[in-house]
Amino acid sequence: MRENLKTKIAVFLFSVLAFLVFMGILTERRARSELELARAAVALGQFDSADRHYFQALNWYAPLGSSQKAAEELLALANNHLKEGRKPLALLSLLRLRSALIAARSFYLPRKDLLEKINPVIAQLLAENKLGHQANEQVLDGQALDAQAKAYLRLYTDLPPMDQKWPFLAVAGFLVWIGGAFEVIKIYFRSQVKFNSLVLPLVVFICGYCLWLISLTKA
Amino acid sequence: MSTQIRTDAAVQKSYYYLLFFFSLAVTMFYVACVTPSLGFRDGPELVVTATYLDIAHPAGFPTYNLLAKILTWLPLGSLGFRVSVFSALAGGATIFFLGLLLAKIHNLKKDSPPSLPWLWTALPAMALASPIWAASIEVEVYSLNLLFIVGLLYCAASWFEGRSIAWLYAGGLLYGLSCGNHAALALYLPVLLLLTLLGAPRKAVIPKGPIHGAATRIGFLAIVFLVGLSVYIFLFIRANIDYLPINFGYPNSLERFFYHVSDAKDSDVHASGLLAFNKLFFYLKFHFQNLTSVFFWPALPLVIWGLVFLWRYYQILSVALVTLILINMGFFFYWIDGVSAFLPSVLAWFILLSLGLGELGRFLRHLQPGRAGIAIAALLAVFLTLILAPARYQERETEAGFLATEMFWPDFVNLPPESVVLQSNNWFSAAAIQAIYSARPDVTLINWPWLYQARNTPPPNNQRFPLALLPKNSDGQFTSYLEPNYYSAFLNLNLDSGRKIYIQFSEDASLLSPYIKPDPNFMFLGRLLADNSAAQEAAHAGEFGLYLSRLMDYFDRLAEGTDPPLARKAPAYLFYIVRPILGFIAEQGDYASAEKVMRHFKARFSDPVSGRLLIPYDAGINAQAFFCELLVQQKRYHEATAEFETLIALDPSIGYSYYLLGSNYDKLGNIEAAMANLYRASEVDPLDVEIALRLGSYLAKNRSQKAAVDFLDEKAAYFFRQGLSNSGQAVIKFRDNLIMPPDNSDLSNENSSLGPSQ
Repeated sequence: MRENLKTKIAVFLFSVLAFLVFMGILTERRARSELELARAAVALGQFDSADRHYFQALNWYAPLGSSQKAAEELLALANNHLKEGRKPLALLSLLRLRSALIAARSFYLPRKDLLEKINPVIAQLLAENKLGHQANEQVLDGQALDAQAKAYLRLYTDLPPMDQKWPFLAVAGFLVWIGGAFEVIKIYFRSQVKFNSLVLPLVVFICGYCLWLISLTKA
Repeated sequence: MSTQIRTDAAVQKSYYYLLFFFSLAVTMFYVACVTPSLGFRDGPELVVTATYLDIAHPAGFPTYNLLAKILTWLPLGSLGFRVSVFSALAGGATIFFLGLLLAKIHNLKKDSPPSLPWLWTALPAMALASPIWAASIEVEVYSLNLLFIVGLLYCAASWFEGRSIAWLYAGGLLYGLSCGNHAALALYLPVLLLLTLLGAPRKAVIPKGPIHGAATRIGFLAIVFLVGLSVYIFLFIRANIDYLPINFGYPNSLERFFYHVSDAKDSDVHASGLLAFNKLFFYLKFHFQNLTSVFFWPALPLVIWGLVFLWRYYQILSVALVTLILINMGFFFYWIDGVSAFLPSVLAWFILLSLGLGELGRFLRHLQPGRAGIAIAALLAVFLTLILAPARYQERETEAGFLATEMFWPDFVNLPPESVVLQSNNWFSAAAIQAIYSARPDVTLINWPWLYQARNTPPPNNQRFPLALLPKNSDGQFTSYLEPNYYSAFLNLNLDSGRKIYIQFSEDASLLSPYIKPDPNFMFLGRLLADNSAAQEAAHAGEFGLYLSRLMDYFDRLAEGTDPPLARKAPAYLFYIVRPILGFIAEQGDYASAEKVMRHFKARFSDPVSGRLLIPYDAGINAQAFFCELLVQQKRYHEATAEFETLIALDPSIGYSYYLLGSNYDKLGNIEAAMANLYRASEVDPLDVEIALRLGSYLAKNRSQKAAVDFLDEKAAYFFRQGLSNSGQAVIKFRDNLIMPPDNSDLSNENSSLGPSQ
């Protein structure tokens, strides 16, 4: 019986591994394909299309995968736009890069270093955009520009909540109380049992439920 | 003999492993097909609610959000992709547990072991059938719903099999949790009660543990069900969290909580399927029409065989499955699209088909023991799969890839800093672009659904809208959406501070349910228009013109076909966004601008030879109808006649098109042509009561009252013969009003002129 259980667990773990490997291969292949399209678009000077394909390459984020190269290359493209004085295009590329990295967040935020680098540039470009509109493209007031850029930087560094501790506990608590409830049913109704044998699953159920409730208020 | 038994057991075991690996392969196939990004309709919303543990549209889907949240931690792909993968996992698990369920049910016939290869012959066909596939590749709750239904039936079958009553109560707990995934499962309560009250373990087996009577069972079931259902506490707690990107319904009080979970805003629509019992015949017809796309009808005898088997070995389960199909027909078809609504019915049909196949396997094994039967089963599986699966796939949004994101992206990221966007179309797509991608934190985005449901929306504050200027009361507190003229105040504040306001809205009420009337503050649109015509007119008109010209540029880029999937699918979606904006422009009297954009749209996406719009069917029909409407509004009836003919040529089976053409001829004074087209409309769509009433009215006006009364009597008799008593009575009432003196004939007067029903 125990042998049978061991085989089942081994098969299950193997399947989970196979599934993860499959997903890894799938995301990497798609990231590579998008990266190639992006490079072709850059070569043709189609920056709009290049932005889109880099963005989609980053959609297929995998640790150590081609999406990392896509991030670096999109940043290089934005820097190139800045050097050549194409500020609106640089802003669009940087917004794409920022958003793609944020949308790839899990229990961590990928390439936080890049985000810290690009947020001030985005803030500066937006501030120039705003004050440029208001000043009708005349010479900008340096102090006002700095103040505006700082205000935007505060907004752009205020990322969606990344702390996953409480969401994790909420989900864990949920799974624990469901498991505990099924266990109580299984033990209590399968045979006439003494109350003692119910104590542990009942405690698990109640603790899971409390953890779930508390975590939901904080997640 | 014992060696033979061991060998049989080993073979059976290997079949179960085969089922497991088959389900794994199906899951991987689903994953390869899933929506890579946000998806459409409920997709963007559910990605956000799973990521943030938010509150989705009614009934909130707490079970779904808590389970899908797990996938958001997987560091592969984007958040949208991962939540789609959850659907794929639920779909694959459904196939696996369905296999186990079939084996369990078939095993009720104890004197002969089940023939597993035969029993599972239809599983590949089911896994690849288009509705199951579609539910497993997009962000939706339906594949998890199917998994729950299979789980519930598995618990019931385990109890029937003679295992302990714990299985029944486990089913009760699962049922509570499943109602937290999609509250529509509560409708299957009659099925569950049927199984609980009338069902009992097989008498030949003595179950482990206690055997409860019906009353005790119901008592314990109610307790475990409520424990499972308590997952809805999630909504109550989360509604009180300060910042949730989507807090639909804001159920932070008991009143709002029950309003949300019962989906009271749409309650009239939900009940209509059940109340209109006399339409059951039509639901039946509709059900079978839908089923034809996934079912191989020559296999019907096997379904009947399966039903006979189930009736013989466990009557109550067969009754439960048939009831499940009937509930789907009676309730859902009135208001949900066929694909997602009849999934549980498809499941029930496949269960019966599989049981029939299992019985066939037993019969063949009896005739010809050995491996030949297994080989035939395998060939049959391939045959059924080939027949049912590949040719039946519908075009799904997956093909469009990132369209949901790309559709909004260029406009959204190009907005001037600190703009305010009021957005209605496509529900939460733009909200998801902010919440998932954090695309433009400086832009304030307000979704129209929040405005429609001001009563059930959290009060606005600057945490929610960091850069917008929000109205405050004399105490300096933010005022609620419910305050008189809130939106006028909001827009005045922001317009006066020089912020640009962009709107995307629907001038028709398609997003409004009958119970949600537009807030009186909707009049703020008047202020916006006043601003257009006064101080800010030039700026706003310039922005709007720029917007339209960018749309036309976008059409051009798409038509160049540099991205084939986008080029094929985008125009349809784009049309649905452009349509209300153009409608709005036309409403203001600027028909020329609206017509210009529509002509451009048609020119870019038409076949140069046939002139047919090369975009998906429904958008093509709607685009052409809208174009006709623009011409009629400009009183260019002769040009409109030719365009109506094109509309009819696109699909001659739509009665309403003939009706519109007839109306157009009426305006040209061509009574005979008008009459002919109205008759044609009535012939093509004989069940449309509105066309019948209009034709009756037109006959009275242009022929004689007798001709009108005769026609209406005939029509009323026709409706009664078809079982449409409501329509028949409406026609009789109309006829009675028509023959009354004119000063009492309100309805007659109301309908005396031809014109669109709106």
